Amino acid sequence: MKDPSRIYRWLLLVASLVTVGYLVGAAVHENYLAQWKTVQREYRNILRQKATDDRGRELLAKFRIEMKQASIPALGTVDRCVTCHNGIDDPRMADVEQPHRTHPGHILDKHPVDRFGCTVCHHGQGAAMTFREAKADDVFWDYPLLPPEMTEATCVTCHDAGKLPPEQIPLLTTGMKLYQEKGCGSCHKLGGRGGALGPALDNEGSKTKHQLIMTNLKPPHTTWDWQLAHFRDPGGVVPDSQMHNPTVTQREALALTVYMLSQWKRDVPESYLAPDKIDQKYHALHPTPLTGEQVYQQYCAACHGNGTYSRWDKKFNRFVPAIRGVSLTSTASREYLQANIEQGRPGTQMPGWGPHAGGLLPEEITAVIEYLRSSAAAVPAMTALTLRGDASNGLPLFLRNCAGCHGMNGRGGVAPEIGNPVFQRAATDEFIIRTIRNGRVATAMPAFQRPEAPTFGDQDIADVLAYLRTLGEQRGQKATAQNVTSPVSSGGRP
Amino acid sequence: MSRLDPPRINRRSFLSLASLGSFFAALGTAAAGMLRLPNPAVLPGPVRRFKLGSPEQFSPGSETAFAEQNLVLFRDDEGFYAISSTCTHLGCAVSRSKDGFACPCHGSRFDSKGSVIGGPAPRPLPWLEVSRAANGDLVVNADNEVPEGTRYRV
Repeated sequence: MKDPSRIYRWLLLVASLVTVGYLVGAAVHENYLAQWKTVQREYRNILRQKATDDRGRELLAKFRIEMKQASIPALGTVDRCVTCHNGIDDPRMADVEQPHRTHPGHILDKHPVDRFGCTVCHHGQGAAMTFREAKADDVFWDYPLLPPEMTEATCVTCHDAGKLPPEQIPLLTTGMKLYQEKGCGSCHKLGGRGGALGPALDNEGSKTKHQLIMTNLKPPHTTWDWQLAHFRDPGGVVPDSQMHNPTVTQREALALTVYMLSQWKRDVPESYLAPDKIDQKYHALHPTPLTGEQVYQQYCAACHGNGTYSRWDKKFNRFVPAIRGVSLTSTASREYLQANIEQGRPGTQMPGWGPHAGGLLPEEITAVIEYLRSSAAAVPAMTALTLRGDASNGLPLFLRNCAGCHGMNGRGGVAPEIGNPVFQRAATDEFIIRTIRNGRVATAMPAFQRPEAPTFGDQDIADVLAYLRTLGEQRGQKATAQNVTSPVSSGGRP
Repeated sequence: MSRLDPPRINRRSFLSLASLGSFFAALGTAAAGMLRLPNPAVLPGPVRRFKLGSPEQFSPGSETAFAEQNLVLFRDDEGFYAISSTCTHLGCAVSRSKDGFACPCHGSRFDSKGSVIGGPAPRPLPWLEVSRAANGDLVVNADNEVPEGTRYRV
């Protein structure tokens, strides 16, 4: 007769044997085969080979195979990198293979691991016990291990990059310079200064891969791969990007990437900040004004070019005015330029640059106006136009001669928006009349009163001016097509 | 457990013994693994191994107080030694007095070798292990105490 409990005994036997086998396997794996234990056994052998003097023997005698870590409560980090990188502060290890090699340079002399740890500079997952997890380039860790050449981006956590020796931070230095040369500030704000077309970049380095559009990139999806690809081809990475292709080499794209990674307002204790960083923070609150030319290069040139010709902009789908052109600067008053710079042109790509918008200092706006006007030529006094214009006569003239570029209602097309409220407020009658008469050299704006073949007589100009002055009001009422066909016939200033 | 009693069939009782034996073996291995849990490989606290710089900075006969690390480093003719400046009573920072160390909190007094000469302190100030790092810097390990009188020769 069969024992009915036999099957349970077999079951218990098999289950227990499987459990014992698994536990013993796990114990061996954890206590003997762990990656870091293998590495430390290797390191002990290296120490044994190098123990030729007293100190070498002392270091060998003190070496224990154990988990090692730099726990830095002030920075909130626990870095176990030193469990495998045992030789980083041992100058004798300069010639051995990684992970045992000495840390390059003299960085650890001033930044001992016990005080700084590793991840504050290198990023990565400090508490990891295997290299793959420490590198952490999967989706679960926000700041994976930086590639060695980009590690200089993190120096600015505690240093002013402008005060560090450029040979120690070559990419960062180049990146900073390129940012100014390429006029990135024309569209992007940094420290509250810059244009408004692109996003502010103050915390670009703190972005994680989850905050960037990766659909058009190949894995691994790291933020620096995104930056690199984006600097080479913004529209290819972000499909609806308005950003101009900055036309940079691969090396320059790398430098700009490092500069972007360095833009991170990290909160570290004051005791970690270098004195130059504290100076930098002070100077950010009390900036030294730039010269007019510097302002122009950093904040205007990216759209306006050198400013002496009007430029067709493919992304904006319009001409960008020649703001240093002799015909503008000879006719426009300081007040007109100041109003346009401070307030921008609402509704167009031209943002305001006043202290509360683009962040330029009043001195800098004055300086850049002087820079723009440096091309101005003396203009003969204008013969006063005393005729009274009629807006209803001005309308057909406007439609025939102006609307093609300036748009119906002056809402802008390929030429500036002359119905724009800031333009309407800032432009004097004299300025508009002069512009219509003489046109703008090196732009598409022709002269309408050339001496040999005038298109407009004085009365025509007065009528057009009267019509132009109604445009500001129309825009205020959300002008429609009906407004154009039945304009306000009164008004019209001399 | 009558099934295990007088062995009627050897094979069956062997099966029973083997299954029970392996069951307890599994239990034992698991228990051994669990017994290790209260003893972690690393503790979350900050590192208490302090690099104090190269030995040449400290002239013989000098004493240098490290306030942040709570220790005083001495160098005499025989070598280096470090004494903790954390009072063994309730953990205040002791300061140097004429004849040794004095604790401002409850008046414990220690002589210049750290032995208690007055006040509520239960133990002398511990002497800490001094060694050298690979780059030659002096290292004091505040987690390791050494017997009084131990010197580290450079």
